[in-house]
Amino acid sequence: MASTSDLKKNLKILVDGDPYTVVEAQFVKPGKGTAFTKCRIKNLITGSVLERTWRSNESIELANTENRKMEFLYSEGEHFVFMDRETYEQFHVEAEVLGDDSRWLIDNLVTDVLFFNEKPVGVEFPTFVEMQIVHCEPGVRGDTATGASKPATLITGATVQVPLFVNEGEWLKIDTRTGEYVERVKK
Amino acid sequence: MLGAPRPGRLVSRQPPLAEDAAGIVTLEHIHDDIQPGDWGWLHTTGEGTSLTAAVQKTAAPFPGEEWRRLHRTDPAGRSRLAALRFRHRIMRRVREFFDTRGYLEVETPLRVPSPGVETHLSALSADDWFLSPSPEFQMKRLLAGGSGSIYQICRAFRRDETGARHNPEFTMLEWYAVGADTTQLRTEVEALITYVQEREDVPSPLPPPPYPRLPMAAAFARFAGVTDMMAPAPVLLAQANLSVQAADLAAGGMSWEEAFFTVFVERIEPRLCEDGPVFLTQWPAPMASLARLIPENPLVADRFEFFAPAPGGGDLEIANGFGELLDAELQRARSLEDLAWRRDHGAPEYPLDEKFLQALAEGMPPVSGIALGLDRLVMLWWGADHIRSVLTFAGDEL
Repeated sequence: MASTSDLKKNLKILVDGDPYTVVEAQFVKPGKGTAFTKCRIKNLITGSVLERTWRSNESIELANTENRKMEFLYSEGEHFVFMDRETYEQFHVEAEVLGDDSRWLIDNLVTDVLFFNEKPVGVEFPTFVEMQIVHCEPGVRGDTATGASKPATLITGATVQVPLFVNEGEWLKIDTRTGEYVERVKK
Repeated sequence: MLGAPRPGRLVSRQPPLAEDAAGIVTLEHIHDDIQPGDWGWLHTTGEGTSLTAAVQKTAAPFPGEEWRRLHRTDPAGRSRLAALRFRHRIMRRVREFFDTRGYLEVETPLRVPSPGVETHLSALSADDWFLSPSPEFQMKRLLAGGSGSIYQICRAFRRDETGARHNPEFTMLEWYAVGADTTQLRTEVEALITYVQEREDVPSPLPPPPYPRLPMAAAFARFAGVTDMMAPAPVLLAQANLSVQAADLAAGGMSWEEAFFTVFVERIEPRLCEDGPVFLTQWPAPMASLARLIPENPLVADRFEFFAPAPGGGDLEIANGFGELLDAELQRARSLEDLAWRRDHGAPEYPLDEKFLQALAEGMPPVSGIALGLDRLVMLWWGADHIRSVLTFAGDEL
């Protein structure tokens, strides 16, 4: 059991017997009154999202889920194939489990794969990944706007906003939580 | 900008770009020894700007955490630094508004012996005292002393309140209008918004005032289908079409107050601001807090809150105002009730502020007062969906 103050993004909880991940948790305390945590929660199996509100004195049941370190091997149709780094067992993960995050999938990337009842239901990416730019406009001289940026296309097809001084072919560090450019890295 | 050399930092060598306090500068010339991240002196002449030898070599890789935090841009291309500059302009206008209206700006202590005894308040302790969750008691002592109308911009501290719209340490604008009733005070809130919006370039302005005044009972009827907001908890929940969770039944049901706020959060707040900002007035008497009851209808308190549409949907609670309670004995009785509630619910029992109660007994002029969350107003005007966007540092950045 947990308390409502533990309700944070990515917490795995059990609601009416199903495992959910918290997508968004908002603390509200209107009118100097009782505090609530309003959440959007996503069913880890069906993917459906619903809204649920807890009062601050209610308790939260945690979902019994397991994270396993897995290496991405290759994609095959609607599946991505991962290998358990300890047992060498291979698993097919459905594309919809990854959603938009599949844009950070580079070969041999090691991720945490979430299992509920022995079934892979989620993939958690490392906070930072390093990827090469395959296309962007060359650094523009003379643009003086503070913090100006331009789009860059990465090797997986993902697009990120980068500062003007960044050039094609360079390697970038990307924050997978926000999809934002962090810095250039030397390779 | 011609003139004296000024500090600047090399951002990149290719193309040569530096940055000073005003923004990015394209360089005509840089010294060979200077690496990105190093600070040097910028010289601007008729031929352009050059960066001379580094005066401060960077030891850590550039850009570092501090530079990124201030310069990283949101999807709209705006940085934290731009938000802080915007905030500064707003703060200046807010002070100007009250100064031109004859208010006295005051600063009361942040470390106080009593944080108040409100039921849902959790205070941060500071040695054997507390960090003030509100400057209300001290400002009312000034009013009792004959200060006249006063305002204050200060920090307020509330434990365990963290989220996209809460920071445990936040900036409050609190003011007391001597001789004004809450009708006049609401008009003054509108005047403040107009004053700032007419003078500053606000990216996400509120629609021009006036805003509707909606009594709480009418909000319950309109948005939740509740005919009597004072009805017992099961009636409130049933009329609002809300089911009680099994756990609540096991625990012996919900109190009236919990049911009231459950209806408020689930049914009223999501729609309250669908037509723009609104003043929610005439709160139930049990939620009077430090407000007087309305003489013509003592079932409701002379209390209002100002709500505005939040960036990204829903509403944002911006300000809470009272026609202030002047009766010292009644205030003491309410405080003792709150203390009893705290004892019954295992909440820390804070001491009463006897000097505040004594000030009420000595006599305060008729006055209306209001506390407004300035971070939230700036956040709203900036169009940000997280309070950290307009703070120098959120709690987790310290």
